[in-house]
Formats: sequence, structure tokens, C-alpha cells
Amino acid sequence: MNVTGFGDRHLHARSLELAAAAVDFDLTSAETAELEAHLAGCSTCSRRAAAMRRDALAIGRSVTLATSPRVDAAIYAEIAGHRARPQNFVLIAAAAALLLLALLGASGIGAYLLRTWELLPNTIVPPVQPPALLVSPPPDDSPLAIGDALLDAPRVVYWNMSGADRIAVATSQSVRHEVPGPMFELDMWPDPDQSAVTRLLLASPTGKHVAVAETDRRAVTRIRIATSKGAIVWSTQSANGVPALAWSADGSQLAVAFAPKLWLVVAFPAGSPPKASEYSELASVPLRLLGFSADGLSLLAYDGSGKAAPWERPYSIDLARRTATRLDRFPGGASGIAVSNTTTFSGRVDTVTGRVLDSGDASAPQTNWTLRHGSDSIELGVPTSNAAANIQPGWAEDGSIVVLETSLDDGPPSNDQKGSTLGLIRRPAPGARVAGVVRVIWSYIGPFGTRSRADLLGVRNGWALAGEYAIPSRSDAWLGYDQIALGKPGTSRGAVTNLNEFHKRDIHVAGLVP
Amino acid sequence: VTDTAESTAATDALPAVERLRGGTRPGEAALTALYEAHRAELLGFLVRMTRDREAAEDLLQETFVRLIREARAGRMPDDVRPWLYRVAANAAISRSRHGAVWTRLVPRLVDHREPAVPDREYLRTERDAELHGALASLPVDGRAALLLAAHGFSGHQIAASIGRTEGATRTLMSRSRAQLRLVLEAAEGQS
Repeated sequence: MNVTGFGDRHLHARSLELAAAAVDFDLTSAETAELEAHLAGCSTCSRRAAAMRRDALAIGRSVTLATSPRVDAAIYAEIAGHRARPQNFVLIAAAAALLLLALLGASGIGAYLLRTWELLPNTIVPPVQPPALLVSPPPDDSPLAIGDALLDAPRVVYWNMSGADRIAVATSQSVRHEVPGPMFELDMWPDPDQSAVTRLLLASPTGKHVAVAETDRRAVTRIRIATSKGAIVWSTQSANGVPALAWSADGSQLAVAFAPKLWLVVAFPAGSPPKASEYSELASVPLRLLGFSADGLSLLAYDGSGKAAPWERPYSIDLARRTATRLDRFPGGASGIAVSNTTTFSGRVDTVTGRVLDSGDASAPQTNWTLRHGSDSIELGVPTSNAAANIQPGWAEDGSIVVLETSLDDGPPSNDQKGSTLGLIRRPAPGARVAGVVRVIWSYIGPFGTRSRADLLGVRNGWALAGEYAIPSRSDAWLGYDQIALGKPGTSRGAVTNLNEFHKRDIHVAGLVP
Repeated sequence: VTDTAESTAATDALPAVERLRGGTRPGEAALTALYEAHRAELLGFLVRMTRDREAAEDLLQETFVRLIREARAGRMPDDVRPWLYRVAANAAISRSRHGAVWTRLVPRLVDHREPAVPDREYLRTERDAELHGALASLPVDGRAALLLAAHGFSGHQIAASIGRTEGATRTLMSRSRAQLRLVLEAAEGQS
């Protein structure tokens, strides 16, 4: 659309309208060219276009509010089959209508309506449920930190298991999606009974790619790498069982380990197709993959033979030299592990420092959780008793330790509901005793909760992601995540996403991305 | 091991994640879960639409009561979330349009309503206050369209929600965004 010949005022107005339309709609190529040409020469409109995108971002910040007991009670009554109490404005409207009718002399109709109103059954109000959305804490006693609070939060990549032969991959916390929004769907190996195929998804730290692995009952595995739009850019197939996957910190490499038989590293050189390198020489060592080093030059692994505690046998694999070297301890700095989704079977290795979080002596339930590093031993001050029924540690990039505590008796003093606490323990100095977990999040585990269970799903840029299970009261089956809590430990910043009845059975998390 | 670089075209994004089982009659547990899953974000939407907490809660209640009754009648929407937003947005638009008449009548009958004020729970910063003040200055259907976009709905879905064609919706939204920007710039200039 040519606007040449219009006055400046019309030109700027036209540009403003196109820039505004571009926020929500795809412009035609002609419109795009027109807009770009104008913006290139008009700093005022260029600033306005950028400001409009910021406006959209600001409007899109998550705003969720807890409902009042009045509304909850009315809805629960409606669900239970009782008629909800009329709302205030309806009452007022009815009164106004009756008054007007009376004033108009329609007293007969008014009296009839009034009699009808009085015949309505009384509302039965069930016990008031506490709000489902509760994100921590003081200092400002707010139920939810918003505004700029979530601007730097990572997005969560979800995928679902609901389809027998297709999955959907989605993100949250983007500019325009406060709850999972679709990224793409992907055909998978059919899995009618949802147990014959093992599926694993892992998003790259940059969010540009998703690694998708599926292993059938014959231990045949297919691994595919998809872009964030769902285009498959690389695939492989192997009969070596379920793999471990790890992305490098910059998202430019994916390690695939069929321990101990086959190791692959897929690189994504700029402008070229992905290229896989096979490390068959590692097959002689029973190693298990932990992740890439921060500089991406090596992989860190541990002895997977089961003959020793895993933290005692760290290995470094030099990708250029193709050698595996046993280490005294896991290295720190650029040689330390930057990204890992791997947990060990009897302890958690701090992949940055080589420290180990260990539950201590199981026969002494009051023993505090302990960090061990060689001969160093640091108590966290969190007992393994009921006060902290379930501890799950994770590590931030700076070595801070994030602890998810699932407590049996947390929650407001007014009731006995169960909840989870997401806490942060700063990386302690060797030999120091840590005072305890800073409690920053708890969330209500709905009417389901006879027990509570939650997982620490990831840590990125100081943010931690936890998923809470919904549990039916009449069954021991875990239904999947009821809530996903994304919070910044040590601050009041966070948000809880409630997953609906159908999501919660099937939702899995593939990672945190910018 | 086979190693193949493929060039499969990107599949279109489909909203399968949000899909529910249409046409079924969910029980009390499912309806309770649906309410608890959506109430907080829908209330946030309605408070921003109405700038009146009490009115927003009334509209929320009205919306969910409709959903429950639709479900009971065997007409469970295929996609519950868009359905909820569509009903809530239309209820808010309808309330706003009838509000002019209503606000003329109410003071003569009962006058206990407090003036509509922004909900302090979501106005944490001056910037938020300015933004939501500017949003409130928009025509109600434009405000609904921008808020629906902020909640992740596509132009097509927004058009269906507010009963306009996609072309008309694009015009409405672009003008609303432009107007919003100019209102904010005026406010920034004053400050």
C-alpha cells in the first residue's frame, strides 16, 4: 500500500497503525516493507513501535488473583447442584426493577415476582476452600508478585503424554502466553497403552531446539532434534536402550549417551546441518553422563558400574582428544558442569563444585542433610524428619543450592493443609553450618491432598521450577502435576500455574528457556 | 546408527495442549478442578476489564455458572479456556454497555457502591497504574481485544470472541494499541 503523497501526519499515523497491527497480526510483505522503510527514517515512529511492543509485554504480564470465599462458595454450591445465591448486583437490579414496576402501577406483576423470589431454595454453602493460588511471602504480604517481577523469568517448556501417537510441546511465560501455549505437535511411535514407549524431551538452554527420544520395548531408540517450530533437523536410531541426554550451555551441542555402549555428540555449526560424532572408544568404561562442561569442550560423567558411590569416581571426557580421565573431584569454573538434568541414584552431585548432598544416616531420622566434599562435611540445618519430609536439591549456575522441601504440615495456621516450600540455601563456605532454608513458596494442594509430593524440575538464572502432584483421596495413583511453581528463591517473585483436570495427568517439563 | 539430516517443514502450531474432552459430562471433581484451574487468571482478566473487583467477581461467577450448566446439559465446550474467556469478555462488554443506563438508575435506588477503583493487588508500580489507567480509557471492546491478546489468544479467536471479522478485529486492535500508546505518552509527558 503506497502512502506516498500523503502528508507527514498521515504518514506517521499510518506507520503507527501498521506497527500496532504488527504486534498481533502478520503484515503482508508490502505492509512490512512500507513500515520498515518508514521506521528506518523516522526515529519518533521507531521509538513508538518499540514502545508498543513493550506495552504489549506489560499488558501480558501474568495477573492472577485469588477469588473471594463468597464466589468460591457460590460456585462450589452450583457444582454440588445447589442454586447459587443471587449476586449483589442481581439483587439490586431485581429490587430496582420491582420498584420501577411498582412506581408504574404494575403492583400485581411486582407482587408475583416477589413471591416467586421468596420461593427460591435456600443456598447451601459448603466449607470455604482456601484459594488455590498462593505465592509467597512477605515482605509485602502479597499473594503474587507481578509487575516487572516475571520479566526476566525463564519460560517453561512443557510436553504432554495424552496422545497415543502424538505429543504437543508448549511454552509458558512468554509475552503473550501466561499458561502453556502451543509450540508444535510431533508424531511419535504409537503407544496405545502409554507404557510400551519411554519418551524423553529436553529443551536446549537457548530454546532453539528440543531433543526428543523414544525407546520401545525392544530397547530400540529413536532420537530426533526439532526446532522450536517443530521442524526435524536431525534424527538417529539405535538399539542400545534408553539414552541420557545433555545440552551444552550455549545450546550448540547435544550429548547422547547409551551408557556404556555408545556416546554421540551432535554439533550445530552455524549455517550448516547438524553433525554427529561417535565416541565408540568410551564403550570400555562404564560411564554415566552428567553433562557438558561450562566451556563445552568436555563432558563430565561418573562411574556407573555401581561398585562405588558415584561421587567418588568423577570422569572428564576430552572431546577433542577423545579420552576419558578419572578425576579426584569434579572441577569448578569453566571446566565444571554447566548444564545437567541427570541425577544419580544414591546422592546428588553438585556438578559445579563436586560436593554431594547426602541424606546422611538413614537409621537416624533426625540427621540433618549434609553437603560432603572430600573430607569436608557441611550440615544444612534441615532435618530429614517430618519437618522436611522430602528434600530435593538443585544447583544454580553460580553454585547456589536450591532446595525444594515438601512438608507435611506447612500452610497457614488456620487449617491443616499441606504444602511445599521452595527454599534457597546459599553456597556455604567449607565447614560452615547453614542456618536453614529460606522459605519462599508454599502452595495449596487442593482437595486432593492426602499426601503431598513435589519435584524440583529445574533451575535457571536464579529461578527455580517446581511441580506439585495432585493426588486423589481414594487412590494412591499420582495424577501428574497439579501446579507448576516458578519462583525466584530469596525473593517474593514467582507465579503458580494451575494445570487443569486434563493437563495434570499428562504434563511433563522439558526444561527452562530464556 | 543412522544419522540423517532432515528438512521436514515446520508443522503448524496447534492448540492441542489446551484441548479438553468435548461433549462429555464432567462430574463434580472435574468441574471443581476446572474452576480451580481457571478462576485466578480469569479473575485477573475481569478485574482488568472492569477495574472493579466486586463486579469482576460477579462476572466470574456468572461465567462459571454458565459453564457448569452447559456441562450438565451435555454441551461441554471442546476448548474450555477460550470458551470461558469468550463468555467472560462478552459479559464484561455487555455490562459496560448497559452500565451507562445502570449508573444513571442506581444512585436513585441504593447508593452504597464505592467508586470503581483499580484493584491494588495488581497495581504495584506507577507504571502499572498508568498502563491500566490507559487501558481503562479505551473503548470496552478494544480493551477486551488487547487483554485477550495478552492472555494468549490469536486474532482469529479474538475476532470470534467479540463477534467481529478478522479484518475488523485487526483494525480495532491496531487502533486500540495506537491509542493506548498515545495516552501513555501523554501521561509520560505530564509526569
